[in-house]
Amino acid sequence: MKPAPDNFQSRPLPKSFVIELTKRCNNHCLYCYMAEGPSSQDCDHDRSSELNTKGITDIIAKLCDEAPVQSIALSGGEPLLREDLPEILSFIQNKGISAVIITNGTLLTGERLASLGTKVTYEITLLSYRREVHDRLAGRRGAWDAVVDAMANVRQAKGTLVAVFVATKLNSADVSKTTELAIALGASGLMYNRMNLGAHNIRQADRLLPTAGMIRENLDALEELSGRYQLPVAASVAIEPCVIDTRKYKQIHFGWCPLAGEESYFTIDPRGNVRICNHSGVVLGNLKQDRFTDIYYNHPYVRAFRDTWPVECEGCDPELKAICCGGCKASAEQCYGTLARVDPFVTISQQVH
Amino acid sequence: MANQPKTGTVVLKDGIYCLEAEGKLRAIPVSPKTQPAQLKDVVGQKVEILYSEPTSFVAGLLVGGRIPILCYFPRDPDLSVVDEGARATLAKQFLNEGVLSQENYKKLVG
Ligand SMILES: C[S@@+](CC[C@H](N)C(=O)[O-])C[C@H]1O[C@@H](n2cnc3c(N)ncnc32)[C@H](O)[C@@H]1O
Ligand code: SF4
Ligand code: SF4
Repeated sequence: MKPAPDNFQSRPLPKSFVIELTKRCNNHCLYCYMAEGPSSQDCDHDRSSELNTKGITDIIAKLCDEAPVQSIALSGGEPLLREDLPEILSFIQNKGISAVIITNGTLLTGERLASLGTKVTYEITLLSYRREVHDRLAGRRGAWDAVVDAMANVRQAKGTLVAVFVATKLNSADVSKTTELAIALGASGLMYNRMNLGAHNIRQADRLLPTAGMIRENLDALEELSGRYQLPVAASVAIEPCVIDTRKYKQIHFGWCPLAGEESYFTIDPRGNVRICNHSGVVLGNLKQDRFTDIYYNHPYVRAFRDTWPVECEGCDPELKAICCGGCKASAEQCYGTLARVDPFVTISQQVH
Repeated sequence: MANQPKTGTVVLKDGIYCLEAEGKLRAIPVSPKTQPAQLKDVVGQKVEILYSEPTSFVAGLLVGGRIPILCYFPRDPDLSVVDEGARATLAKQFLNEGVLSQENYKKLVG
């Protein structure tokens, strides 16, 4: 029986979407959140299962027919492995939709940049000001040199650059100087992602997951740097307030799970499969045959995602609970197979102070 | 923060409970503690914004002395505010330390 309609059933449609153009990647980041991990850049199996240019643009057109799409982030895998990226980008921009390319930066040569233009925001990950640390985390030599070149290219072309710092045990000590390098390279914002765990990278948790103390030190440093340089800093992966009291940071913008509501960013994979967000591994349908609005309003998982609260959160301070919304449920589900457990970061970070 | 909203108003729009503040309308997220029935009581009332941050603000609605209901409002990002002089100083510093190559330094300041 269908549940009685309530205001969740008539909530507004989301305006932002993530499209993963490929699962393939030329890096092998130790921390990558992709549920099955990225595949190699020339994996024929994955390449042949990707939607072609028309397949992708058809899906974008369908989304625009159904939802008030205002922004699309092109991600992956590594989106620059797609030769048709400029065509896909133009299609989006011709519809008046703002676009972001989320990239490891290593393939963003001056030539590729010229083909993509500067009306798009480039979100590029810089893991350290130290070559060896970045390359170790990115899983290959030469990545740092290529990414620094790419950031300088974007700056020279007067494009918009947002730097991403994924905080792990191996680079958390580098956050201040890396932020300063990102500013020197022209970043107009910094996204601080504490490493999020999933089915693939959970095996690396001991080695890589930063402790609460490390993240607290990073946030203290970023609070000061953001004020000093007027650099907008956003922490988009949930830093649950039972681990760190995020309310004391006045400069940093903290993101919380939008619980499948209007602020959510449903994610479409290279085959057209829809997930509730990029961190989730659960496929809810495929836009080649399903309507987005059907998934958004009628899929039982979407409601369960909103309604299921982690058991660990039962006794939580209501004020914290209302800010936090139960942490990253997608991470919990990937790691424990259920939405009823709390984000493993909460449990693990409290064990390893 | 002087320019942050101090209050907002709960409104019901198309069956959805929203908070109106600074001319923006945002749906109030429903959680086990924020049931539509509670919100019904405060439609049309001014509510207090408990605290706010420069890039975002968090609204707390104290409904009839019961637990506060909070919702989160991301602000539109205002990107290009970094001082150009500070950027150039940092670029020079990284060049001197050998972190940035002469070629990239030229791209940044040239
Ligand atoms: C999966 S990547 C795909 C796009 C591209 N290959 C890249 O690395 O930028 C999307 C974004 O998530 C970030 N990311 C990857 N793994 C992460 C993790 N475990 N926790 C937090 N952020 C992560 C990346 O730095 C990047 O900004
Ligand atoms: S570059 Fe991006 S997709 Fe590739 S392994 Fe790293 S985080 Fe994953
Ligand atoms: S809701 Fe759960 S994860 Fe969030 S602060 Fe409370 S106990 Fe922590």
